[in-house]
Amino acid sequence: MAQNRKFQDFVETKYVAAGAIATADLADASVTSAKTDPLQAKYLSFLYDFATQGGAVSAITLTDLGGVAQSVPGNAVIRNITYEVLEAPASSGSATIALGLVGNVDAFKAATAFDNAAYTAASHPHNEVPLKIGPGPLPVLATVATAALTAGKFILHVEYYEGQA
Amino acid sequence: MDEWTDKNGDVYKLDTDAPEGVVRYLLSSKAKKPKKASTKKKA
Repeated sequence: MAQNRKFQDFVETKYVAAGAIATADLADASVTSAKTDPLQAKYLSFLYDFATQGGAVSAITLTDLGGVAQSVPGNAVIRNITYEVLEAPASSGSATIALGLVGNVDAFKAATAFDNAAYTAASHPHNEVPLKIGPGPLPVLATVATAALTAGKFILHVEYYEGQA
Repeated sequence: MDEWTDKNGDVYKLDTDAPEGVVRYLLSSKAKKPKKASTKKKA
């Protein structure tokens, strides 16, 4: 088969004229927080799923939506937390849940009964928010106390700015 | 991170018995509460 060297070079260098890419050329949901400029708010979503993480009395590290470990970056200025319930937490006892970070377990929500309205519907936990974290990245925690959870699935949507060191 | 201290002084340790893929911490020691000031009046 005859080859067109110039065309191959064109493709391999991924040449794109300035301003040639339109929004319509981007795949849906392809612009991640990391690709927006530093002045834009960034977003991370953290998952608690009883089916995989259990509900033992403990400080449970939340994951990304795929079940992979994830942390809020160092120096982040957290400006908003949104709680999205997928399955209301359940317990056979008087379980409480606090939401926060390693080193500050109730940064987002102080220990509150599992069946409180804050956990059975969408809410805005904001205990110490806005909040700037230290230089190191921090995992997000759901801290279960008093009794274990027996069900529950929720997402914490964390909105933050990239703070300065 | 195997151990860390919460802002209130509570110490948490990694739960080594957690199922694979689950990272959770157990409260290993509670912070000591400050003693209340004595209400007794000095003679």
